[in-house]
Amino acid sequence: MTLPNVIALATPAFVLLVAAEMIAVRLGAKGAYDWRDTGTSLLLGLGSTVAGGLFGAAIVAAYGWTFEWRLFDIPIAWWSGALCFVLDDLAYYWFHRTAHRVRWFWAGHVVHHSSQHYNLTTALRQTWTGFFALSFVFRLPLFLIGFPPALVLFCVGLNLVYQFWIHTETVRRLPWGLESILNTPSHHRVHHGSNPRYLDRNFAGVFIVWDRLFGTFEPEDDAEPVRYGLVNNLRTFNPLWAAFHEWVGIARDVVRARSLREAWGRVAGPPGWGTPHSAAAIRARWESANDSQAEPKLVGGVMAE
Amino acid sequence: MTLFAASLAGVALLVGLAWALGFRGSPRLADEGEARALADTALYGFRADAVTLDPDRGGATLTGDGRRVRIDAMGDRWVVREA
Repeated sequence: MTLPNVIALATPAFVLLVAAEMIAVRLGAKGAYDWRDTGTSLLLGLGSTVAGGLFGAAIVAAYGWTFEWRLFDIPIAWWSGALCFVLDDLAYYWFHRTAHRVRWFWAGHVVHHSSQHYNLTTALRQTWTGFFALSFVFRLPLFLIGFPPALVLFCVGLNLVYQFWIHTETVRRLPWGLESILNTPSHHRVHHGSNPRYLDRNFAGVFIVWDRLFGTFEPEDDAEPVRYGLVNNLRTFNPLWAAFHEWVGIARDVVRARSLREAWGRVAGPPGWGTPHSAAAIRARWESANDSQAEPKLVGGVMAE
Repeated sequence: MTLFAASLAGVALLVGLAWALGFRGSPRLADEGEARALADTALYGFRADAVTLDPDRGGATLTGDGRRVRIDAMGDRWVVREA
């Protein structure tokens, strides 16, 4: 059975929806665009398809080799497709969480967070270096289980297409309890936030239940607008720098490291490891400040104001 | 190659549309207070002792806590970083 390339099929719709969102924002819908930011996002998206063309064959070969060691022979059918879609989304959750917690993987993923805008073009701001970052290894268990590569790649495409539309400020909340189950524009806005409250939260691809299950869920608080972007935002729209700056940073930090432990920490630790700028450190300072404001302190056995 | 050229044309079309729709602002700092607030928000807890606005108010330099911080316009947004 031949399964369609859903990303190729969806690309014309991506272009039309970006144009429609721009016009809607111009007419007053919530959201923001900047033509230079749009250019950077779209060029990074175009570059990622070129990178996919260059390295895709090697990744598919790795998938095929892993599939040779499969535990079960799973046919391509509606039920296996549904199961594969859910398990691929679980694999995506762990890839995505690791991509924020381990600098090596972050170096490939950071490009997606490097815009201070949040609109449909941000969805297209994709990595050029995912192959080097070894992002594909998180999907290997699916092939070991026995899901055919064509089916997994079809599900990957569906997952990516789903994630396109949630990169928008024009949609506030979804009705009918869908916010409880699905990753939505609201949940994913939180993920793109650099506010201490929102750092490293909501890693889901399609199903937000993974974040609820694994303790990384944070709802969007309308009283605290999301500040999109990085803790240290880029000072250029150059797509080359956006694509490679974290790799340059890793190389620089490893060369400057004074010990093997420090070098390892700079590569395999969280982004900002050993500095006050890691997400964990910033979040800890924020929580500490909030605790000291919210709770009266016990001083000498008396509750202080 | 044709597909790449077509994609590049699509990029140019959307960037041109964004420009034509007026998404090309450059922010200006209203006063020192705005610069302080931006730095405090971006560098969680930073307190500036001194603020120097650029003549065109398109940026600022702040010092405090033994640190030097630059605020620069980046498209229609601000970038706040330790210098």
